[in-house]
Parts: sequence; C-alpha cells; structure tokens
Amino acid sequence: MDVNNTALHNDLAIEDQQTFTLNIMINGDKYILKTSPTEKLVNILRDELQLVGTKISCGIGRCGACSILVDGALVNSCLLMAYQVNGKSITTIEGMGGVSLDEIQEAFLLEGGFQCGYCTPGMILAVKYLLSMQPNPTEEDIKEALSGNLCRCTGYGGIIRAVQSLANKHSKNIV
Amino acid sequence: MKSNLIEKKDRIRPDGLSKVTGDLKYLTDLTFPNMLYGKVLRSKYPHAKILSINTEKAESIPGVEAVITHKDVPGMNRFGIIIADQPVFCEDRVRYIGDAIAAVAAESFELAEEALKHIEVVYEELPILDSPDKALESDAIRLHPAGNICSRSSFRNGDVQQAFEECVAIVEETYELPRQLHGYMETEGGVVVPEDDGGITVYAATQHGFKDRFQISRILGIPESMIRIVSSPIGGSFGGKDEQNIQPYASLLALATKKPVKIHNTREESIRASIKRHPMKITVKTGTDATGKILAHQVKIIADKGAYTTLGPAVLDFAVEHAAGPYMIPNIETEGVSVYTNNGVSGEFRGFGGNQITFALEGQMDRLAEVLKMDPIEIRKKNLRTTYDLGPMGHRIAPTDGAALVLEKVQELSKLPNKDYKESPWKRYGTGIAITMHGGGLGFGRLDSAGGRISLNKQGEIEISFGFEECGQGLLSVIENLVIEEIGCSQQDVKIVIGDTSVVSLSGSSTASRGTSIVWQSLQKMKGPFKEKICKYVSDTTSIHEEELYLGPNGIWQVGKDDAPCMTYKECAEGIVDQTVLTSFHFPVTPDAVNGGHFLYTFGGVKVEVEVDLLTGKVKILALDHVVSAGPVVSPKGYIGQIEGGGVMSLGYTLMEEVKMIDGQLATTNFDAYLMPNIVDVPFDTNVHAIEDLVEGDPYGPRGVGEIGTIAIIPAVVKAVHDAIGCWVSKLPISSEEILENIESKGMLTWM
Amino acid sequence: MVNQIEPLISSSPIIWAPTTIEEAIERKKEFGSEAEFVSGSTLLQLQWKNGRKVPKNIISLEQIPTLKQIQIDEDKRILSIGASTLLSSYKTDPNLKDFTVICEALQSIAAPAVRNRGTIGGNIMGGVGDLIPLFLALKAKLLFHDEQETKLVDFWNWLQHSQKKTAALLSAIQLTSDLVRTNSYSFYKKIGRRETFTAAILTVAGRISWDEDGVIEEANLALGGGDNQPLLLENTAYHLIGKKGDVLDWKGVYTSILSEISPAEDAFVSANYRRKVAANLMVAALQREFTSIGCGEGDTDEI
Repeated sequence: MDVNNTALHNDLAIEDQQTFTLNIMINGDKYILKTSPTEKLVNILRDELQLVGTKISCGIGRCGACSILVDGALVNSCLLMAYQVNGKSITTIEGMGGVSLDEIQEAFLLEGGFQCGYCTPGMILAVKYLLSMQPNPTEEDIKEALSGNLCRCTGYGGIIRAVQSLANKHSKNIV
Repeated sequence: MKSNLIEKKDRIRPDGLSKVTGDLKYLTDLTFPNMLYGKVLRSKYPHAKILSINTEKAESIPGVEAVITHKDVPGMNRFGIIIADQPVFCEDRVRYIGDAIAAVAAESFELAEEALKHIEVVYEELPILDSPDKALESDAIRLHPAGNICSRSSFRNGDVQQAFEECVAIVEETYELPRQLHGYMETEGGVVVPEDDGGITVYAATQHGFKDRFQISRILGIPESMIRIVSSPIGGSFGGKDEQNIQPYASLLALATKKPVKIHNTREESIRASIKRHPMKITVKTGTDATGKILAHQVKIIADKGAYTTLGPAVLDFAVEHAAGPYMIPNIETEGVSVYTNNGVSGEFRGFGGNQITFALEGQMDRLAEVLKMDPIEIRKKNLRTTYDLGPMGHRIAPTDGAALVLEKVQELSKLPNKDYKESPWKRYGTGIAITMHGGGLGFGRLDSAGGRISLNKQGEIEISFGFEECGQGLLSVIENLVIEEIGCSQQDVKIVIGDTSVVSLSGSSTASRGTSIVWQSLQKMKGPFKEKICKYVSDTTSIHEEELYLGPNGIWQVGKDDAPCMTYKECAEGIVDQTVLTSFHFPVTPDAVNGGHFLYTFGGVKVEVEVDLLTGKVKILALDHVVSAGPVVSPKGYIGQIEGGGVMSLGYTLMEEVKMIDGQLATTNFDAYLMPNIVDVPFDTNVHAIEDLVEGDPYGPRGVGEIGTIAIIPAVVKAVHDAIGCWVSKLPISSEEILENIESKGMLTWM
Repeated sequence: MVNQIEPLISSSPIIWAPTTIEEAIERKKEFGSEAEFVSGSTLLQLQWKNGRKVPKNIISLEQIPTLKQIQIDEDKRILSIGASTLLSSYKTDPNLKDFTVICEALQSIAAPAVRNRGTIGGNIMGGVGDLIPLFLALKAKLLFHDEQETKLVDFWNWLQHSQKKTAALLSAIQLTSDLVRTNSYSFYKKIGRRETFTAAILTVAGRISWDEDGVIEEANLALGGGDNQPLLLENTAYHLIGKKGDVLDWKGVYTSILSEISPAEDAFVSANYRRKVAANLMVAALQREFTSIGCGEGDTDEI
C-alpha cells in the first residue's frame, strides 16, 4: 500500500496535474491507464475498457446497477473517482465465475433471480459480498445486504430464493 | 417465498446464461467505429413560446459535428402511436419540460452536454396548466388546436338515477392516483448506424419494432424498407418504451453526420422526458339493495394526459371498460375524460388504466361492505359474474369462470390464521383482500394483428420467429417452452428469432399481455402444416409412410423405432425446399361493436397483511398472497416472476411512488427522491397461487400475465389499513401524514 | 496482461494524498478556500453534481491511517472514533460491537455499498447526516486540528456557535465509553419515505439516565436528519430532569417536545407531520423505558 501511496503522490505532484496514471487490477489483469484523477470508475470500465457488464442506471449511487468489489468490498463504481482506486484490485461481473459459473450465478439461473437482467451484475456482486461476510445469511442479513440494489422486474422474489438456496446449501456444508 | 407451481418445465431461460455472466450486450452497451455521442436539449419551461433558437455557438465548438433543430427534420416533425401530435423538435412552443428543442452529436457525451449549454433559446413563458381542473376551465389557454380535452370515453347501461332511488346503501368517494415512473433499470438509449444505401439501422429498445420503423420513416421521410430496427434485448420497459424516445434524435443525427450516433439517457434525462402512468381522479357513487346487490354504479374519471396524446385515449377506454370489473351491475354510467396539461406526458404503463379504476371499484366494494356490515368476500360473491355472463360493457366475451375461482381461493386463504405478530402498543395489524378482471389484447376497434413464422432453417434448427421483444418478461422462455411442447423437439433444436425487423414476422406489439396468447395461438395454427411439410419430405425421401412419422428430439422419428430418429433435422434441412409456415390472424376480439371491448380476460386476487405504525403512520406489507387465473402456466419461473414483480411494482405505487410535479416541474429527478421498493419493503412471505383451469373447451390457451399481478394489490393494501386502524384511504401513495392524523383523531395514542 | 490506454481530455482538480494529519493541515493552509478535505466523497460527489463548487484542490484523507482508528481508553472511559472510520465499520470493528445504538445508527445510513465508502466524519461534516442527532444525544466531543492548535469541542456547542465551514480538520469523535451502564438508556430512530436507503424525514436519538430511585438525571433528546436543523432539546431535558420516570406527565412531555422543535418541510412531508412523529418517537422511547407500556417481550430496542 505504501508503494502505491507514493506512486499516487508522485504522479499527482509531477505531472501536469490534469491527468494521472491509474494502476489498477481488474479481474486479475493489471491495467495502467492515463486518465483524469476524478474520472468515474464506471465510465472507465464501460467506455475505456469496454467492460460493459457493469451497468449504469442512476449515476448517483442509489440503485446498485454499477456495483463492483474493490479489494473485496462492495461499492458503487459511479461514486468512485479514479484516484480513489489507484493500486486497488477490482472485481466486476466479468470476473465472476471462470471455467464454470460461480454458485451465485448458478443459483440466479435456477431460481429465476432476474428478468431483464440489467440489475443482475450488480446484484450478483452484492450477493457475493454478502456471502463473503456471512455464508449462511438470515432474512435480515439478506435485506440489509441487498438494500442498495434496485430490481424493478422480479419484486426480489427470485433473488431472495436464490440467496436462500445458497444459505441452505452452506448451512448443510457447515453441519 | 413459494408457489404452488411445480417446476414441470424447469428450463433455464434462453437468455439466462448471458444475463448472469454480464455477457449480454444491451443496445445501450453497443459501440461502433467512429461513433458520435448525442444529447437532446429539453425545454426549460413547462409551457412557453419559443421566440428564437440560436445554435451557432454550439456548432462552433471543436468536436461538435452536428446541431439540429426542427428545421432539420426532413419528414414529419411529429410522433405518437395513436395521433402524431408530439413534436420531434418544437418549432414555436413547448408544452412540457421534456419537450425537445435541439440535439447535438459530438465526440463525447461531455462535449455534447457542453454544446447544449451554448444553444440559445429565447422563451416567452405561458400560463402553466398544472392540473386537469385548471385545463378544463373555460378560459384556460389551449394546449392544442382542438382544446384541452384529449379524449372522452363513456359507457351507459340502464338508468342509474332511478336505480339510486331504490338503493338502501350508497357510498360516494373520490379516489386519487398519482403519476408513476416505469423505473426500468436501463434508461432509454441505443445507437443508430447510417447504412450505405442511405438508410439506417436503429439499435434501440422498443416494444414494437415495426411501429418504430413506421414512425421513424415518417420523420425521416424515407421508405420503411430502408430502416432496420433492432430492439432486443431490453433492460425493462413495462410500457414505458412503447412510444418513441431517443430514436428520432439518434436517427436524425446519424443521417446528418453520416456516422453512428449513440444516445443513452441519464436517469435525470429519462425522468424528465419519458412517459409515466396517468394520474387519475375517479369519483364514484355506488348503491346496493339491502342484500348487498349493486343496483347502480356511477363513475367519473379525469385523467391527467400531460402534454401529448401517445396512447392516452386507449388507456382511458380501458379504465372505462373496467369500471364494473368482474361484477354484474344492472345500471351503470361511466364517463371518462383525458385532459391535456403541462405535467409531462402520460402514456402506456403496465395495467393500462386497470390499476386506477380497480382501486376505485374495489374501494367501493369494501366501503359498501362496511356500511352493510357484510363480509367483504360475501358482497363480492353477491355481485360476481358467472361463466357465461356478458363482459363489463355488455359485450360477448370468451366464457370464463376465473372470477369465481379466484374469489374462492382468496376466501380459502383469508380463512387461514394470520402470522403471529409481535405485540406492541404502537403497532396495529390488518388484512385486506381484493380481486380484479383484466382484458388482454388491444380491444375492439383497434387493429390487433397477430402472427408468427416457423421453419426448418439451413442449419437444421426449428426456427420460430415473432415480432415481439424480450423486455425481461421472459418471452424467450415462453416461446421455447411452447415450441418444445407443441412440436415435440428438444431444447437444442429450437432457434428463436425476435427483435429485428429485418428478419422477424409481424406479430404486433409486445404489450397488453398479448405475447403468450399469440405465441400459443400461432403455434396451434402453424404446427399442423409445419409437421406435415417436414413429414412429407421425409416420407418422400425415405419411403416411410407419413402417418408413421413424427417430430421429436433432434429429428423426425418413426413410430415404434425409439433408438434414433430416421432423419435428423440437419439432414432434413439439407434437402427440403418447402419448409416454412407463416400465420397471420387477428387477436381474438369480441364480436360486439363496443369501443375497446376485450374478449379474453384474466383474473387476479390478493390477500395482504399489513402493519401500521401508530407513532409514524407508516404502513408495511408483511405478507402477500397472489391468486391468478390466466390459463395454463407456460413458464413457471416467468409466471411467478411476472406476478411477484408486478405486485411489488404496485406495492410501490400504493406506498411510496409518485413523480410529483409542482408548477409543471419535477420534484423527483432521480432515485434519491423517486423511491421504488427495495428488498426491505418486500414481504419475504409472498405466495403465488396459479389457477390453471379454463372453461371446458376453451380454444384460446394460456393468457399473458404481464399485467394481472399489478392490479388487486392496491385496493387490498388500503383495505388492510382500514382493517388495522379503521380509516379509509382514497389517495395514493398512502400518506403517513393522513394515517397519523387518523390515529390522532381516534385517540389511539394516549399522549396526543 | 498490461494495457496502455491514452488519456481522456478533461480538466480536473488536483488531488493531494497526505499520509499524516499534519501534512493534510499543511495543504489546507497552503490552498485555503481553494481546497477541500475529502474522504469517501459519497455525499460530496452528489453535491458537486448538483452545483456545489468543485474545489481546485482535493485533499484526500483516505491515506491517513490515524484517522481510521477506533480506540477505547479504559482509564479515561473514552471511546474515540476516527473521522475516516467507514460507516460499515459496525460490521467489522470489535470496539463498536457493544455500542449497539451506534451500530444501529450506522446501519440505518444509506446502503452497504455506500457505507463501504462513506465515513463517520463525512456524515457529521456534511451537515445532514443521521449521526448528528445521535452524537448530540450522546454528548459527543469533536477533535479538530488546524495550523494553530488541536482542540476538543463540545459537539452541540460547536454546532450552535461555529460557522460550520471550518478550515479545521475533524480527526475524531469522542464519546464516553460508559454508554452501556445500568440505569441508562439510549435510542435512535430514523424515519424515511422508504424503510431503508433513503434520506431521513427525521432522525431522533436520545440518552436518558436515572438514579436508583428512578429520578431522571440526564435526558438528552436530539432531532436531526436530512434537512432538519439539528437540535438538542434542552427545554424538554429541563422538564424531565429531577422527575421520576414512572410518574411523568406524558401529554406534558409530548407538548414540550412539540413546542421545542421546528423541523424542515419539503414537497413530500410537512413540518407538522415531522414534528408529531419526532415527538411520538421520543415519548414512546421514554414511556417504554419508564413504564410497563411497550415493554414488548425481549426486544427492548423496538420503538
């Protein structure tokens, strides 16, 4: 972290102070980008890097469509400026799963946790974050964890069933 | 949350994988080489004359490639599904804050945004008509040449005045319902790409590609054949993307610059310009005899149309038609008027006026039950339609016992004990029920053409095509499930083609709960001839008798030979010439000439449990049961999703949603102030009960369920609030302040 | 894989990322009103979007580790919460676990993704935060630093008397760590137009303590949230202190609260409604603590 701080410091002090060099890990790949330090991360992801799985809907952190993980923590990429993620490691929906689907993606498919799908990438990352903190979440945990992610299609029923199916699975594993 | 539907066809929806992986490219995700970014300048005022528009400064900004106004519209400078009265670009007058005046294409959104600031528009403000009442005053300024009345609609039967004299109980009430935002998560947007032949390809969401093609062709002044509309997938619509939104601007800019142009509304731009649910004020007087039998029902509907027509008249007609809902009322008089104002534009929205009118109707039933000291279910039973009764406007409809089945199920549910809620001196609990009847299809007097196409394509896939859109509702699953069921093939054999006017067949719009119905009916018409064509070819080639052949997984099978098909679809595709079957028909409609009258109806019922907080007046939904009668379930997950999702959308309408406008300006510009339900507002205890039975011999198959889940919940919640604290709410969204005033006046808090 | 991408053309503030409080103050001294302290910026970015002037210099506080500490000084009985502590810290920080009213309040602010960026200091300095009434009720002190001095100020006193646009840096919020003692009770309640993730219509908080005979010794009731001017209800406290909790004149308490507060009004909710709800919530909280009314089974936090 110290190295990154220094890097940030130096970049900002030395360059013309309009652009800076953003060092960032996205889904395991390292990127070095020249950008404005206050450019929104969601625009960098969608427009610069064509990682359009991250969606934009309200642009003010009130819907969760642009949710991503930064160093494992759920955040809204529309409320992050480039300088705030320098040296950080980011997971977007494109980084979920791999050869096979993540169990959350699987559960959303099986339980009908989506319809139009536009809130789905953000929702799946919010569930990922929830399960990373609490593998066997209660109803209250689920409500709290997903309260920042709006879905206009499902009425949340399928999403709730998807998360509960994972909670059940995990509680069996614990036993 | 659970449901009684057995997942008998538990297939993953065809677009599922790409949605959970984020791989699916929505039309707003697309980029093209040399693409420019477009922005639209919207009116500063809700009502004003435009004295001048000067675009020179904006044009001179480096990186700005086009600035266009009404002068740059080669064809008709208007759009609108029913009547084209909305200016693409206003010439000399603006009528709402979303009215477009100019558009810019530039190298980036930021630059386009900057350029908008340099377009100089000189306005002269005009009086703002911010309510239908104001617009109906005799000296009100006229918003359109013919005045401020967009449309009227009415229905009369019997003699209401005389019947009221015979009534023992009469209830009179005015119900007010707000403007609702569709709230699709993907805002309007897409890319228009100019083609070499002078035509364009429009990649933008709509609910009816061919209608967009028609409207855009009229604006551009080029033949429809030069316009291709690619319109799926869509990140939610709910009626909101049925009308033109950004398409005209991106199209004009693309032709002006000869480059692809992308427009993607920000949420603020979307809320400013988009259509909304009609606010309605409904005054109802209803009277019964001593037994609870309704003798007279008088309804006056005033709808706030906003500035332009779009589908307003049809929404009003729908509300008028459904004024009596599932009840047989001998004397009825319904009058509706839709009034132009400067309050945005109201248009199509899931439920289509049914939500508003049913709130009033069911509200009357509950109030009458109270006056008569009757059980709310009994009074409904007393007036309920039976299987062969005529429709709500005295017209013939497809026989249905859905109303009785739904009410019976609701009754059964309401006999179950409520959940054991925590005792608190500052909480009250209540239960409410309501039912509804909802027409599918566009109704009598509207061109409601339906159809589809099936063929064996060159790749050996059974290709099925409809002109419908996948807005998220699960159309693809419905098509896939029905093809597999009706043709007998496997999931891998099916290729679905939708959402592209260059390849799909005519099916009409993806609206009015008509999709499922039409897919099923089309297949009934096409499957015989299609199977025949295929089997004939196989028979000709293999000398196996046609009667012994049938279509199955992976190919054509011979009866009795179960190890492998006698010819695969791929083999068949290589030789077959005549392999396509088309169908085109009119959506089933009543034979009686009643304006907008429907023929196929679905029924819904809701039982809801609420908690009212005496300290704050806030209402919370604790448990929710949906009952739906809409024929066989085609796609269980899709069905549950439509009902649950529709229910929560209306839970929002009942408790918190309102696009508030003050003096024609928005009080809510984004999701910080326009509040839609989040997961905390939703009862985990939600159940969907599907009644799949249809009247014996019903030839129309499964009905669509896109809207039916959004209706009955609204009055049911209000009844539950009454059950909890004894006050009737007649204005939505339910005001905590009004509830608290009731709590205070009833002395429910000792210190107040 | 390393991807090189060309820069965007845009103008932007200069970002400074000090790693110590001293350095941050130094920057502020250098640029004065041309600079702003910024942490998670979850609120500031919205304000910038809505027309608040974007400063020429952003002094990011995110790299200063000392601002993120939560400490309990057992001897002095002080809980010190660093200003850059994330709103989500109630989930992870063992020092906060016992202070349930603080955890409750933190959980009521925004949603997880915002709480993972927004800070406690930002919530207070933003002027509209839900923590303001809570910390008023808890008699918090704020630790400020500027080029001249480091000073500990009484929060309520500071709210009333300082011009809030201060050049000083808030480093920590200090509370008594005796919050959870017997014969005392703290409450917090936020009301919005939606259950969660919404601006407050109002937020109330309170802390009451009493002696062995049930005579009220301390009654800090506070109102705030959203556009409401934060207020510590001193008149009502005066009304309550010295009285026995079980024989209070509830109508009198209610009336006292009503007359002391004047909440904001907007397009959706009237001031009158807010006033009544605030009073109801406070009376209910007191009643539940001092009478048998409202002592629901087990759950003592539900108002």
